[in-house]
Amino acid sequence: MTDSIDSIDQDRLRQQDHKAFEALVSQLHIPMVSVARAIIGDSLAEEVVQEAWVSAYRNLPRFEGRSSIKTWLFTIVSNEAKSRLRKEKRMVALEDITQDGSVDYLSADRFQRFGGHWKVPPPDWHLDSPDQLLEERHLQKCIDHTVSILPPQQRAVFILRDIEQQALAEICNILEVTESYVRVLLHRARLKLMQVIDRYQETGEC
Amino acid sequence: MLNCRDVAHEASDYIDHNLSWWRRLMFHLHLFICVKCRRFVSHVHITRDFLRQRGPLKASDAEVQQVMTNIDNDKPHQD
Repeated sequence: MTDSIDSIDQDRLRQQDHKAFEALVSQLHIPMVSVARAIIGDSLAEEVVQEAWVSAYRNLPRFEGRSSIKTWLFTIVSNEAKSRLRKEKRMVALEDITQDGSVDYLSADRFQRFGGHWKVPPPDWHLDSPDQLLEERHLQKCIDHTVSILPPQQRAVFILRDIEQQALAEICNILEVTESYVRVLLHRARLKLMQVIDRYQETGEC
Repeated sequence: MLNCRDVAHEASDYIDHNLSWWRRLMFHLHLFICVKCRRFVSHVHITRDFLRQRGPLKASDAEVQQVMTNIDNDKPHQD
């Protein structure tokens, strides 16, 4: 599966062609929601994203292509969410990554207290290439489910970086967080998904 | 010298080339002597590439339709 955003004709988008815009929504609605959730929380995210799509559609004729269409849209939803956050005078705290005990690979129990060597090493995998993993349909469902329950900021960073392949600096601007924080969130998200693959390799289940 | 715990914490930075050259060298040295960490880093690498190759998470038809309905409803208010 490849990214098909590039296949959407930007001239048709600028002319506000419905079909082209539908294709864009289909590809980018989930990342847009994940950005809004990370900034403003669950309850207002959907509303903010709907407003962002309307605003994007209105402004498409003025899209000059200085950034990619993805970056342009993520910036719109990010600005909508931040502006709504100010209006609502709400605060959304950074996720407390030091208290997130769900990443087994980073828990103290995995390592010897002195020396920091593996006490419980990573298991062997019999499916040991991306192509082999891509053929496992049940695993795909397990991954989708785990992505859907990642904490909001981890989910947004994971989707923006590993799925949408946005640059780290762009992600920092979109979410208004530091690069080191983005890197920690990304690593945690990957390790949680890697644990799903570990379990799948061992049991064939999620 | 790095230990396995350090490697577990910094594996993504290593595969994404976000470590300083000195830290990267230390990482290489550790991987040279530690088969368990080589396996761990390889799994992080495979996980990242697998997730990237899966492609975008597509919205449902209902989600797309909701957006398009809002856009149609907004049209009379333009200009």
